[in-house]
Amino acid sequence: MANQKEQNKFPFNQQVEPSEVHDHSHEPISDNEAYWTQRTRVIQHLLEEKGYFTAAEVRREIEREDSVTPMLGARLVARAWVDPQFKTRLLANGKAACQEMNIDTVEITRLEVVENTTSVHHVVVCTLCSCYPRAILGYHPPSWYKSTAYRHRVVVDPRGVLEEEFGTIIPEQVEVRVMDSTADTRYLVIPVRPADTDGWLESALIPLVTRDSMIGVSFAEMPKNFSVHNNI
Amino acid sequence: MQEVPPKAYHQHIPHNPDDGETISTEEVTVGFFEKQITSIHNLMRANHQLPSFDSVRRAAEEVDGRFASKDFAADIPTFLQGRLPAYGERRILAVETVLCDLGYLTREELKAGMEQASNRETAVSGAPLPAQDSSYSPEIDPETYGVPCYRTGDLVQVMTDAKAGHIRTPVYLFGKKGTIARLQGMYLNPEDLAHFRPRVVKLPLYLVEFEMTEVWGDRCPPRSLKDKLRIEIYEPWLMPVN
Repeated sequence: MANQKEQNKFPFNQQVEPSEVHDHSHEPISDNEAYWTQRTRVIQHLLEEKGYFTAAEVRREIEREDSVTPMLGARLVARAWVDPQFKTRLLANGKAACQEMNIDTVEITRLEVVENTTSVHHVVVCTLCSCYPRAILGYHPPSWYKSTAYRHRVVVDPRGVLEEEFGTIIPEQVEVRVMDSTADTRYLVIPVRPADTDGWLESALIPLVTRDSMIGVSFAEMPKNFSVHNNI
Repeated sequence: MQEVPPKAYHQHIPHNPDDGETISTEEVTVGFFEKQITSIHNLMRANHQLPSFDSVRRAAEEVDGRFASKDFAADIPTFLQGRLPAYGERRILAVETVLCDLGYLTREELKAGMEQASNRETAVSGAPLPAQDSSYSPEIDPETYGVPCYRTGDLVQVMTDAKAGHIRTPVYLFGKKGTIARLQGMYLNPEDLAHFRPRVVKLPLYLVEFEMTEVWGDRCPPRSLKDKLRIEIYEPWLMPVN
């Protein structure tokens, strides 16, 4: 199956190996994964036997977490772009605004939504672990977000990291504001609304809002990258 | 619930400002075991069987410390002893530690479970135990820091001394001067929660803004001379600047 992987590095079902495993070629991948799979299974079975939860509950929780994708954040951003009053409420109280959109943020103590504008660009990191608005962007942050390289470098040279690693060039006159998310607040970035989207419906704007733009390492997609039928 | 004092091998999260490693932006999917341990942890938190995330963060730092000091007593597999655990592996070790701290599991049960994994029916001896509430319910102290000391615009300096155990201020900010952007609210001290202290102080939490030049000095890249860093800091970590 190795050949198949080479042919299709990003298969549609995304069943690729974790990069952390690839970083350590001195260990056979299968043994490594088998070990951790077994160790986790033992923890689960012991706790099941003691009656703390059932296997079905764990399976449902995995399914629930898999169902949370950056689409939730994209809905918030697109709504904020088309509805200034909603944006005001979102910026004032992120959790309450999520409730309006039926987005469950019970696991987030405090949600702060920050807006990128023509004068300030926010980029989010957690230098202590991997704090991330999981209930809105997904339960597993991108691997680069968890990497020590990103956590070490983006607080020192944010413009360099954005330009060299993400191809995002922040104009000189725009202040870069690094948000180191290490305490009780989780941050969601509203990217600048792309030009030439005046009059677009909220539903047509949603696909322009990428996960990375809501972390602040990239801009929202430009409309030219999308097929014309997204437009109205 | 017993307090878990800082371990001698506890390691604060380091920060290397000279790190020049390339950031791999390749999209990767996490392994099933990582989803499984995350879900077990979140499920037990939702059921109020496990407390806040803070104790798992503390335990992850203990895992780091074990590897730094080569203290592999807590059943660290031989193949892992020559490298650091990857993100998901470290999460398993940390959740396991907290489950043992709180009495949900014992190291002996885990060891026996691994040894007998091929036949899980024999992994647990005796009848299933009833679910017990091992959750942690500390006494809350809202008084000691009841009135916030700082207001928006105040100049402050971050403390320079690291405390033992879990801390929630990055080491790269030690001794740096910044400005209070605003009070975020009153929150339980995660450094108390992480160690299951019987009394937990409710603290003012501030959003503090730092100039990049103040944080990095000569190391600040010329293109970021006017850029800023914002971070939340709990009041005991701050002192006034006159």
